[in-house]
Amino acid sequence: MEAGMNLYRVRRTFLRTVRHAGLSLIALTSLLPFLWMLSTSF
Amino acid sequence: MSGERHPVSRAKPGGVAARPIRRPKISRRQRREWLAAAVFIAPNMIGLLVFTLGPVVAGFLISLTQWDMLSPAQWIGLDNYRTVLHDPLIWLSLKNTLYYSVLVILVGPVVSLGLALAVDSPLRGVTVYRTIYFIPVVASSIAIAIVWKWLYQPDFGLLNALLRTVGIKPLGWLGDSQMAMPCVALVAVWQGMGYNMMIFLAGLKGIPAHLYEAAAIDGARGARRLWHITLPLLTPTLFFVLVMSTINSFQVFGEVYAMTFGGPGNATLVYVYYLWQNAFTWFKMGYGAAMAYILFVIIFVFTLLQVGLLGRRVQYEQF
Repeated sequence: MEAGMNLYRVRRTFLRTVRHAGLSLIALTSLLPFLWMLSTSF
Repeated sequence: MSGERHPVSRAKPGGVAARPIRRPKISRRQRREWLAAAVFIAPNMIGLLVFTLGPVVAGFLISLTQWDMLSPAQWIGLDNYRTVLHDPLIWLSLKNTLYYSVLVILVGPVVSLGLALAVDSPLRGVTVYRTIYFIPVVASSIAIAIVWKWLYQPDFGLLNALLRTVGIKPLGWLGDSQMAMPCVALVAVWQGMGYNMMIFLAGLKGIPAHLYEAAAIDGARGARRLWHITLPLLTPTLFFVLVMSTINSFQVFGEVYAMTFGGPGNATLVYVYYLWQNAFTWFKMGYGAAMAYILFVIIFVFTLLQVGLLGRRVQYEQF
């Protein structure tokens, strides 16, 4: 029972992390032109 | 007789006197309310007449003339419309516009729907992601196009720098006639994805949760849920996004103007850019106006086709 719950938590955390990573990557792509322009302005 | 203020009585054919017909009396208060309404509506109506309907009519009249904005316009009837049919660049620009539209319409809604599905969850910080994805929408399209032009720059651009880092031969991007149009379309997709994502998100929020619950009880998950519940109930939104994307893609101008000027070798010469060249570079205002009216007809026909072919497949929810 305890092992099952732990497995569930690990799986949930893993999926959440993957989702955040994916969304962050898209966000970075979305901001890339702005960030690049900002960096060249310095 | 006419003009009298007394109630009028009409006799029926049978000879029985009919009830007198009373004209509805307009009270002073009602008249004042109507006047107030007219005053409130007037600025908008005047704006519509002067800045929308006026130019529409004027544009049509200009399309029947030869006018270079310096000398008086000469009436030439439908000659501009006849010339359009024999202009090879018109057909090339139409072909390019169609190619651009296909790229934008095929890729844009799919990307936006994917994003909407990704951010339609109770994940922590999801509003931050939504805001970031929406940022390109609020930026000026010309500014965006200039930034992307630098990203595509073959020698100093970021994209080729990234390719060099991973050991791939740099690409020509906007300088390559094969790649130029997909590059322009990519910018349009990137800029429009946030707006369409918001529309899809609104559509997703409108799908009742009990349908998903019922599907879960029946054992449907992931792809099945998406295919049998989400997509059918999202068809009105999909239809709207498709129609609007088509209309917008036919009117593409800013990206081409700022990035390629229709080049290389007319590879990105789109219809509105060619229209602008005719009207404001070569001062052929009549020809430009005729092109604008032809574009209106093309968009109108495409929209009608979409309504006819896809409108019936749209499922409006009935719960």
